[in-house]
Amino acid sequence: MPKVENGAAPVGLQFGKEMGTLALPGEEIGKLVDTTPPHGLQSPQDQKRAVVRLGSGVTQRGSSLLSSKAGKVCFDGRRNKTWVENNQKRYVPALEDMVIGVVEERHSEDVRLDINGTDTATLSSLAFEGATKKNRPHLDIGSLIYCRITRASKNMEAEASCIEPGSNKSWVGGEALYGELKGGNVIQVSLGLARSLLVPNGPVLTTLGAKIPFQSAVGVNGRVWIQSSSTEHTVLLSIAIAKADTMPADEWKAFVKKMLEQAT
Amino acid sequence: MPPATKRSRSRGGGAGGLEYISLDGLRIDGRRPTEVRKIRCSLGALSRADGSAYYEQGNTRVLVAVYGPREPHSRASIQHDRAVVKCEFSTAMFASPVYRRTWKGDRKSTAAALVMQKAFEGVILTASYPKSQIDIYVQVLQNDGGALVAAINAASLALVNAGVAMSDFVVACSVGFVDDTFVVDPSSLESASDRPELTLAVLSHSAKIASCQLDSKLPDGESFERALEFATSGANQIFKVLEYEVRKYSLNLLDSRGLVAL
Repeated sequence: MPKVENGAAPVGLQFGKEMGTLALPGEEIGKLVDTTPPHGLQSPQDQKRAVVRLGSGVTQRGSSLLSSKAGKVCFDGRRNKTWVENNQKRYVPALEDMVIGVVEERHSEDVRLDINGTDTATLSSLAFEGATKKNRPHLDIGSLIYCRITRASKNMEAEASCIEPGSNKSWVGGEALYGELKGGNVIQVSLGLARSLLVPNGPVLTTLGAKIPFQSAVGVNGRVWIQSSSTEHTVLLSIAIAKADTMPADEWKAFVKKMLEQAT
Repeated sequence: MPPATKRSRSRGGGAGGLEYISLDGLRIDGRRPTEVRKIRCSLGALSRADGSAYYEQGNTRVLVAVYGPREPHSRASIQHDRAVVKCEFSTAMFASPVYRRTWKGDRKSTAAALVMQKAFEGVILTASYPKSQIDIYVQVLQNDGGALVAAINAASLALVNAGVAMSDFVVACSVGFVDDTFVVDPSSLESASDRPELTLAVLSHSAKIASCQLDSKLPDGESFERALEFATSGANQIFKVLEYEVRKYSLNLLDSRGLVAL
């Protein structure tokens, strides 16, 4: 059985019995089950829950669900969603992803961001909390922007925004969640590592944070921004995070320990 | 190491009086007719490419790099509804016993590149990456027969490594016909230009054919079907190895994050 996150059992789909947790492209990971009233679920609440959501790496052929990538089969019971988690280097924009973009072009009303994908994303100069035509951030070419994706369609250019829903912190105060990242260092890691860095209390950032205090921003497009009190520490942290991409967990811990000992 | 070739009085068929199948029913390199050469492969061999694979099948060695989905190089090649798959097939100068100047645009390379392009176009879910391009670069480092087969298998691994969405996993295998016997995965000694050779690429899960190419004629229609059977069984042997490798690779990735939950 695939790893079930958030408890609830799948509704409207049945995972393949002999499924391991890893799937290859073309492998059947499960089947859709008919849940219309005569067959099972009666209550409207269950009916509502029976919407099966397919995430990345899962395609449907007839009633069977096939994997289209090689990776771990995942299931989120809360949203009744299944996907195949893999590791890759190219980013494909998805709605509400937090990404770190680099300003590539400046226009009068917006800027073009390189978000490490096939195409660029546009960020309106007014898409900052409290920004007006006269009072808006000055974004130079090459500056780093931490933002979220507000429009992701495979046929259109992605759109990014620095406005955080439910917050009214102005961009001027420097307290807003999104905005320009000043100073520090940015590194490129695989998308899988970036996603795992975002897991609360993940092993990598916790281990490093216990040794060196630092600030970081992680974009799911594989960019990680790190800032600490000194350049030396920032460089050490950058190397350590980049190494976490390929090293096995225990080897990495030993590596970090040794590196910090030699540095101090 | 090329095996010592036994020169004996020919049982007919073999060019240059070479005995391809011994009296014990073994081939020149000691394999049984249905046996595939030893396969070794690894994913992510190159750090700069989005996906890459190194692949060895006997003494045939190839390196494949995959880039993309990325922005197309020329505006003219953009397809607004799907990704374009491009393939480049090149052979190193030192790949064959004769040191020879090669270039990627020669007839054989172009044909091989086209076969691969067509095979993968049907498998990659191109509709999910409109207005983009996926490049497959093949470099044959050593050619001991079956370079195309090795290239297709390596490209499959590289695409998996790149995380390109595919409807199925492509595996290729070739079958030669020497001394009235079908030999799976012929080496360069067994495959000469005048002899029939079938190169087959199949989709491993749905068992559909992605590409099928026959050089020289087989005696009759029935033997073509037998050749297909041999090629499919060879492809299944190869798939087992590749599947194991991909699973091992995925597991290692999860392990590197301390995420293994098996």
